[in-house]
Amino acid sequence: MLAWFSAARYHARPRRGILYQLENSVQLLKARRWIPLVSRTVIMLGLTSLFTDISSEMVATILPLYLLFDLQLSPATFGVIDGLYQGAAALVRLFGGVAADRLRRFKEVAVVGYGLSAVARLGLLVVGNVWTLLAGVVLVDRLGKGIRTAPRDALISFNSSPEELGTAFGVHRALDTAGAMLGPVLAFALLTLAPGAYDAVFVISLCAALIGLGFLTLFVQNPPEAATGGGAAERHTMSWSDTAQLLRVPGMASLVLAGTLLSLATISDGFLYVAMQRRVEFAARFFPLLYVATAAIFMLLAVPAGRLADRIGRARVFIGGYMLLLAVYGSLLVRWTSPFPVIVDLILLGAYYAATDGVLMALAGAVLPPERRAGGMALVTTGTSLARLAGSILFGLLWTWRGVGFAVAVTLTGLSAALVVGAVALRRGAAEQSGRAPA
Amino acid sequence: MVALPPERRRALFALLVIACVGVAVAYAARAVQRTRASRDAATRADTAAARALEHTSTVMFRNEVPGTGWAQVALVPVAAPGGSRAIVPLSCRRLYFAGGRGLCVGEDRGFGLGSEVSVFGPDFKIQHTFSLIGLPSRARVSPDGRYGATTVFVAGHSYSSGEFSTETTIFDLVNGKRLGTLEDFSVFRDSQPFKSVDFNFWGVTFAADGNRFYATLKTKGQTYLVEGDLAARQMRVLRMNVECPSLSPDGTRLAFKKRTGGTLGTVIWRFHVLDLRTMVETPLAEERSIDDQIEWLDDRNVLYGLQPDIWTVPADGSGEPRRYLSRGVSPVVIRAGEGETNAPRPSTTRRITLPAADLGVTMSVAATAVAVGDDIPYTLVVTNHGPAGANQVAMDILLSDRVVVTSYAPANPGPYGCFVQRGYLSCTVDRLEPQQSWTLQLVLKAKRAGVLRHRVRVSTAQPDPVARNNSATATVQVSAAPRPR
Repeated sequence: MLAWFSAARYHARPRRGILYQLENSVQLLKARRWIPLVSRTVIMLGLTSLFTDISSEMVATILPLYLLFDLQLSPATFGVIDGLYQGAAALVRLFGGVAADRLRRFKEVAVVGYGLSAVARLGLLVVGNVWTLLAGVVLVDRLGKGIRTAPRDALISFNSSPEELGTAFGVHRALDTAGAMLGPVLAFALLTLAPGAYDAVFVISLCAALIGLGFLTLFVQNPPEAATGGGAAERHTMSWSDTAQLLRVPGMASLVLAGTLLSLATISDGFLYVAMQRRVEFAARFFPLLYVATAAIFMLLAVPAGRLADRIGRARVFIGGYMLLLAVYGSLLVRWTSPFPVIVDLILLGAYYAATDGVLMALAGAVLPPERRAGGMALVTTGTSLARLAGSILFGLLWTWRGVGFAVAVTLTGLSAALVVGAVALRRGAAEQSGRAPA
Repeated sequence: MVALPPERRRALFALLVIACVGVAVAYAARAVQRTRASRDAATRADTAAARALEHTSTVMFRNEVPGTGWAQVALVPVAAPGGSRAIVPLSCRRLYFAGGRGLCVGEDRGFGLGSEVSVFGPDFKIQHTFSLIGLPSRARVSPDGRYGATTVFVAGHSYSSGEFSTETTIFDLVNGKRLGTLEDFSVFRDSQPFKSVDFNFWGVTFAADGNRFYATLKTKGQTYLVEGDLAARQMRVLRMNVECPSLSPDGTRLAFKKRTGGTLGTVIWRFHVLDLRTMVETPLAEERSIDDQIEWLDDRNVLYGLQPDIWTVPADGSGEPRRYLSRGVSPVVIRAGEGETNAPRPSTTRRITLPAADLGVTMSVAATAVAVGDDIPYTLVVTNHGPAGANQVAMDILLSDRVVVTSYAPANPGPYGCFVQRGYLSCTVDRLEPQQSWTLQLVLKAKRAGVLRHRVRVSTAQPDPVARNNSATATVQVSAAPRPR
């Protein structure tokens, strides 16, 4: 009841975000000299992510090898750790977001998240092969990941003018992806030079994590109270019912629905690459190349896609991105006579990520009032990440049951339906929202 | 957050970056240096050594001694496993060799997604290659060298979600063709067709005729032993709770791992031998839970890998496990007399001789008679009698289930230290120089009365020429009544 009351209250409040943007415009202009349209804080957050991704991807790529061959864990144990790795982050996303809103301390909550992951690197060095401790270390790392995402994305949105949100997220995602590309390369280069030197990989990973943490703690500040909704936040409680109220924010329910449905109908990259490999047999050693190619395209296109979204409409670019994915799935159903479709598919896949990943957060940033920004963003990503996980499991089951062609066909059908529903929902959401304030 | 002026922040950040980059570069350089350093004078090209192996029974395995020859195929005579190794420049995670054909499931650089399979002849020339999705787990070749089987885990990186699955592929090694996966074969149970979407197969072992085989089937959480017919593409269920079977050279027994316990995420196995005539199972003396497919050393002893070494234990349940060779995995025994043309004849090999280090361990206890609840202080001393320095020195103490560990000190520094797992207290140090000693003070507390006999074993990555001083025991009498104070 109380929660409903407070939700009703803030609809009447004018949005304060614009004011803050004006105050901050000097800084914006200064930053314009070297990277257009994006504030220094966004760059710093991008660099934080870049180094943290170097750190986490270094470990993620070698973890299966390390666990199975160096520590000789049984596959069942490995399965549990892998499951934790995939699922644990989703559990605390909401908590991280809502806590950041409630405390008005976005930076500090993000620091806790990045810090936990750095501590986990240290853990890898000392726990040896006791699998329960290893599972604990992985859990801590992923909890950190879950906690930090929403407050960080909220900080990006507070430090960007509303009309340039897409660009800001594009810049952040480009830097983030650069780290994700560098990490595996570093890890494999080191293991080639010094086979079996997992401890060195962990130490370097820890160093990268600390540098990332340094960017965040030293160069990023919380936005002024006024910009983040100020006193309105105190009226919210950190409860489930209050969090559920997020769905009542105009445009929010449609966004969560569209994001979740579309994510449910996606195939994880690992499966996609395997499906491609079955069409044109290429050697397993090319798999890293597929990852790198996809990430490179994502990195290159993230900023242009973000700017395009700011110009022609974020929902349009977002839906367009999923249409590219639809084309990728479609290509898996026709006969391939050359390896050429692999290249086309990788470009489309990278472009899909560029058009959807940051743009979804830009959409959320525009919909959510400042005092509920982080919690709302967390709700969106919880929905999409859980849906992705479910989609991946479902796809695996379909594949085992009826083969890859059937699984792709079902996903393709699902994605087409999700696209229709998603497009309609986003349109309705936009209409709902324009009834309140121009975004 | 303390408000710092921007210059201070920048200075602080510069310091952080310099420190982090410094540590990272130093650590990487040290790791690379370590690898280089072990490419030492002990390795030299040697073809005569390979010739000498032709007429003896040999063990082929993946060499895990760091340096030149790391991850490559190594050969030693069955009679002298601790001697020098002939190294063939072929890298395999898992390998097998029989009937003049080898199967090598390769080093993958596939981000944990892919493996490359090569088929090689007695001269180690690659005849065929295949590509598999997944991480290598098992490899076997039929005794006649005609068929091969590999098992991979389909797991890792955004590929599986918690659940692992396995895929077992059968190859025609002569013609270089895939004959499909075991999922394509039909299965019968009590003469009825048996089918489920969650079928997983692993751990093939071939019979002498090359057509019959045994493997493990898992469905709905239960493992089964299946007997298969390659030509008919059929399998029938024989028995429950059998994993990774391995047929003895005389074809009368199957060595396997049997699940004896475990909870979510952990499985406890015990090696057993099943007599195929009487269907009687005998547990082996190896009590540790080990995940490997056994290889028969001869009709009376088996080999298996327990990182980082290869161990042996009698196949009849008697005796006790013994380290067979250091720093190796995936052993395969090639018996002399299988035919001269089929014996491995590597054209180029390098010979590595691991510098020997004779470790000795003593174990003493301060009080030989204590009461329940009293501290029992043990002193363990490991000494390296040389001649070479010893790397990765480990003490393993099998703890009685009637004690609890109170403390161990000095817990040696470094990334490894001591830990308790599967009933063992294991402590490691990275290196022990010749004539250097390493002392561990261990305090245990008895929970129940009786005679406590504790045994410590010491091991190193180097071959140890003297085996008898590698273990020590200490006996303590524990009485029920607490002693008056």
